[in-house]
Amino acid sequence: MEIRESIKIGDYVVIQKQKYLKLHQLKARCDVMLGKDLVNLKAIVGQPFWTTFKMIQKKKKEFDLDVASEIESLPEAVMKDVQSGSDNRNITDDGKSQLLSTEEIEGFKESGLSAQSIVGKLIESSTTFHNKTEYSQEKYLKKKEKKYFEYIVIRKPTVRLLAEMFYSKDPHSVLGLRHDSIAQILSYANVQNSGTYVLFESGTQALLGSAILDCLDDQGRVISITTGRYPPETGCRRDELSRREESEIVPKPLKKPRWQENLEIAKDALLKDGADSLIFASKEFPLPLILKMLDYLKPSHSLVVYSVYREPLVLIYNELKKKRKDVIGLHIFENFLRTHQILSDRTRPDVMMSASGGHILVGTKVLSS
Amino acid sequence: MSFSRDKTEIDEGDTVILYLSASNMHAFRVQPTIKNKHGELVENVFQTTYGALKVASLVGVKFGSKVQMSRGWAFVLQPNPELWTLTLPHRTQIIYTADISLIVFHLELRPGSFVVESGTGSGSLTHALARRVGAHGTVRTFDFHDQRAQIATEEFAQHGLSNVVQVACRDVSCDGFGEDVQGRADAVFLDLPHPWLVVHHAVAAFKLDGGRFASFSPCIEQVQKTVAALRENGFLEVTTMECLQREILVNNRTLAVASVETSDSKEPAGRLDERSQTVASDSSDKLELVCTNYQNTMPGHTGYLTFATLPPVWARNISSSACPSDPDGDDGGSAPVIETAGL
Repeated sequence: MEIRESIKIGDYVVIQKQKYLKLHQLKARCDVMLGKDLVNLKAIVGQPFWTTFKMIQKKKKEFDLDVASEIESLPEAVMKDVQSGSDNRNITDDGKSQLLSTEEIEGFKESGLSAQSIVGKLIESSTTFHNKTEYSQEKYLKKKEKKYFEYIVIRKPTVRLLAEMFYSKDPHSVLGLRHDSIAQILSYANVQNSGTYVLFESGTQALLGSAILDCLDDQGRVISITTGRYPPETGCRRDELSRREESEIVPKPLKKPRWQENLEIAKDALLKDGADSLIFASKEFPLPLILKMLDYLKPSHSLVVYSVYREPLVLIYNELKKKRKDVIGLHIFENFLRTHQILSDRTRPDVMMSASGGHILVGTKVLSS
Repeated sequence: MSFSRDKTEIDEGDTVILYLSASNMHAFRVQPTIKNKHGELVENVFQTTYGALKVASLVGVKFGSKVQMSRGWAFVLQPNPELWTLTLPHRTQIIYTADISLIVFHLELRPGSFVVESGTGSGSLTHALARRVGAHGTVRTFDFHDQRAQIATEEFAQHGLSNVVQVACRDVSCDGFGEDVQGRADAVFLDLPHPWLVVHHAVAAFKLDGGRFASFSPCIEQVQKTVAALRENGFLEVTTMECLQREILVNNRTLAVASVETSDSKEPAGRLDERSQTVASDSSDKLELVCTNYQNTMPGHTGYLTFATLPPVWARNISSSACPSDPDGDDGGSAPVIETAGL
């Protein structure tokens, strides 16, 4: 049976317009800025996630939404009756191939003309379009489609979407924590539904905490250590997680002077059962905290430390080798991650790739005696 | 129940990991006796590079303990999917932790999820899938090789995973995933020679709500056909990537410092005789450094991972261009325009 979960005021939603993703909490006043456009989201309330909406222009740069039942892809619509050239030998860039002026094109947009009609006019008034190769025409139309696209989809936020969104917007905003690194941290920390995980996370928009919580059910716990007033928060599955955050994460409002004292409280909670793993991903150098918390890690369980830089992990690696006979299997890893364009006769790696996804140190606690 | 989180000490029948060093680990079952090649029951003695270990002596020992062997010692660890991947008996090529992690993450598995896998192979990925869906989740795994399916079934039972993992011997390329899977899957994973033949069976296996799809293929021709099939069958967000994990090796090194300066600073500059031009080699001109490096060789390719989303059945064909699966084309550098708010 399919369950159509409908969108309510207060929900976090991901607004997707082609490759543009935006995380947004739906307020009673439903306005949101999408790029330079002001969009009223009233129409999405009560609709299921995954619904597609058409943007209807009200005023210049102001839109309402209407549920869409059909979208015709712009390249498909336009390419139906267009001729193509075989190569680009007769195309020179003299800046004169488009006969329409910028003002004329702006005029079309303001008059509320559909994307398809505008692009149709652009092609009609182009002296070179018909000589371009089919691939090149398609590429041009995809570019134009992106610019004039009139549809959005409302998605339910997931850790995967958030991770991709934060990282591609600005890797620094999440300490360079790329999705493959999050994935490996969850693996090496052996995160499973009912475990107790000690997490020290900062500077990552709570991405890792969200990812761990997403793996837990109501028996699982995250003990979040923080040097700030509150543990970091994120909008991911917020409605669902808020309950858990109260009952399962032990928030430690650690003001600096009481830092030590509160740490003891967290440790008491751990004394009973111990931690199933220790997970660190912070702006700060976490070695003193690691050395302290290692005592509460169950034997045969893992320590996982993430760092955007290599050097802090090398230091931690050396210190643990020197000082702790009860930590074995120390490794530092990094990943090479490359995406590929898969198209018929045009398959190859993407031109640009992410050069670093951070570094991960792993180790296993053993009984020292 | 070797993999169970609550476990702290070794019981008879458990699978354990014997850790001699990071590159020397063994997995075996704790059975006091074992059949020799003549079929006679004999004492189970495990041979290592540091001598023999009487396996019966492990019963009652805490995981993480140091254990004595005849010519040295080792640690005995509780197995987890990562250690198991490094030590499991290979019956096929296996998928390793870097790819496994990415697969599990991108399938968006959660406690209670229903995931379909084909083929089972040596069960390397299966353990990680089972861990993520938890005791209330389901892993249905298929292999067309009867003996492989049988051995995998036994292994999952020994590891206490029978309630979560169900193995079936079936050629899903021909026969699909079967009626009892139809409409139940949150996620489908394929590691098959011809994954594109199974894409429409995968669609049938998904819940009406849709879900996430992943395929692992070593060759790009397989990927091309699979991606074409995914696009034809209404999948969105079709992306292909490869992930290679590199270990960073840490070594403390002492380097001699090469210099043309004289060791005696009082000597007037410019008076370079033969002796002072030689590279300083006395002990004070040494530099102690923590050095990092990579291994000399590494796997340069494991497989291409293709991920895709199947939207809910009512939204298919509508949302296709609103969340595109096609790459932008030649301007691969254009990062998606992304904005966040409301935090």
